[in-house]
Amino acid sequence: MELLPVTVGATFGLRDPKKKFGIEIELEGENLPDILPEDTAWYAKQDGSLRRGMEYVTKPTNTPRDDVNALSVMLTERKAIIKNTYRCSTHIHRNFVSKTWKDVIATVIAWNVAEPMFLRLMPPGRDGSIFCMSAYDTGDLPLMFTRFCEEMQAKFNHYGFQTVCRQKYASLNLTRLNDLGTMEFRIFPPSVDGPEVRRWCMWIDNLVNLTEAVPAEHFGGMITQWEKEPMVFARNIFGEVPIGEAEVAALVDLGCRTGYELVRIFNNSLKKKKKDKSVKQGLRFEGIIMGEEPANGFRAVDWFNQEEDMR
Amino acid sequence: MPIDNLGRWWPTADALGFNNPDVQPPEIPQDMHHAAVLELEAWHVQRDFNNLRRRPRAMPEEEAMNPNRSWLKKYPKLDVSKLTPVEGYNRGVALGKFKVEYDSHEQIQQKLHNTVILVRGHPFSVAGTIAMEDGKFALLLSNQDASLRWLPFDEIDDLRSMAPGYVNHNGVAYWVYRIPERQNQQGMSNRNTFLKPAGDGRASGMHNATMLACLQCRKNIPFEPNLINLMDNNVIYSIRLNNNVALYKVKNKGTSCGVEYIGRPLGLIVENKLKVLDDADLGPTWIHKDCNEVGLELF
Repeated sequence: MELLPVTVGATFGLRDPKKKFGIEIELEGENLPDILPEDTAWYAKQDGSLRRGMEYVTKPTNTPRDDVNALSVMLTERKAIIKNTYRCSTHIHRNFVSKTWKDVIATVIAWNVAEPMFLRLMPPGRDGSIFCMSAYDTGDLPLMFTRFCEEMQAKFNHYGFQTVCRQKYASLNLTRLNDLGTMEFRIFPPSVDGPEVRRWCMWIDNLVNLTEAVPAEHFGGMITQWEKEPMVFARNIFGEVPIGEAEVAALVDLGCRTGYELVRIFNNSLKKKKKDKSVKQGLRFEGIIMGEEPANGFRAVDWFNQEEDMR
Repeated sequence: MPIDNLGRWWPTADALGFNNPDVQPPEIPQDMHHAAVLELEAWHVQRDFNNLRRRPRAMPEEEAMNPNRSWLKKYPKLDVSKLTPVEGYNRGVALGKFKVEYDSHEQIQQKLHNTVILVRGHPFSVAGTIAMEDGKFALLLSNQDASLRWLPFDEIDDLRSMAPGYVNHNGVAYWVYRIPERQNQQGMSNRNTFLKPAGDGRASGMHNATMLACLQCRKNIPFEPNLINLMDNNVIYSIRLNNNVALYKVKNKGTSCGVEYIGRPLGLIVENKLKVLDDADLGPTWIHKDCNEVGLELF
């Protein structure tokens, strides 16, 4: 079966905002404004999971650094006191409306290979958190990915998109693809530092671009190459890597285990043949379909319901 | 007594003692002709009364027990230094430790109460949480023998849940894994951790006591032909070989055994070697490594 070059936007009827990112910052503390001026890139939202906190969300943007800096200035003007608790985090949405499903699959695979390194580079408190669980702390990803690939072939018409996605508390949340057309990366700590958030956005962008030119048939080779050259893979995403080569190799190896499983599932889903729906499904007995009356008037005997015949 | 014309008791506000805390449970009329029916009904009425009735207000000494500080005197303290670190569930990489400093007793109760956590790799069920006088917290932990011990929360250095892996329980190997469920418990419970029998596709949650029993059984067992004999004789149905590999009986296929790898079928045992189902599985080095560790050779 072929993977059709259909975009996410075409599948779900979404319009591309032509901007790459959307950022959510969850904060707790004092004097956090619940209404922001309309001419800014931000709007404030209540979030039930926070204690005396607010969630600040951007409109689609290409300038995360400037937007986050602007938010920081607004919070300083209101004399907000920010407390970093384990409930707070930063979520970065990457626009996938104009990307094909091949790109979605490739990014999911690449993310799972790079995930241990991403979490290693985060401050303590993110790796292991129940709000952004990694693939190596959970075990349901292969099962869900199998269903995702099968349903993708049916253009999400059998059971619907939401039923084949994992819960949103995974490190990579796919459930917003069908309403926003974005993939949500949830592992980042709360921050109102513009350069820092911009750096995270660049990492995500590098990850997406890394797999853009790789055709679907070469996903397996892609994993093998990353396993052989972990430092090259790490530099392609992070630029300068502040951890040693041995540790990078071990982390990429851990990620490749998950990545390989996903590639295997994806390849197997492509191998499956489409069912021939022109043939009516039923129990065949010497050319006669059970329970159906042929043209010549002969009725096939139903061996499992003979009570009428016995009478 | 709020009993209707047919002699049935109804859990109304008066019957449940919302106005009078000292109300007694209703008496069931005796009838020798319908003794069995009335006995059953009496049981239901008593149950409803006990579940729904308003409890009398706590006495002052009971109020003092609310933060459960009396447990500190009642039960011994768990000596963490005597626990030998268990390396059964590593991920192959030394990951950083994960700890959350909870800011209130309510939070620590919500995240950890009635869940299973690992202390130095040993599983414990959190039977209760204690707010100590100095503003710190302690956990009342229960092990597989149901003996209770308390431990200051500061002495727990890692709250990370266990890596997915196989365990043995009652002659069956289970693949135990966690899901990113939208709920608020940091520890493992039957709502976020599931077990799937090897060779089967169905998974279910498990009781904390079962989870404690399961997580104790994680010894590596090298592959031997005798294991196949045990399966043929229905002594065991599947068995954990190591964290990532399990052996299971293939139904309706003679004496053949199957091998599962991280929750999915990997191959069949043919002449004491492992014949993979998908040739692509011969490629990755980690599959060879995991199988060779338990004496299985892939082809």
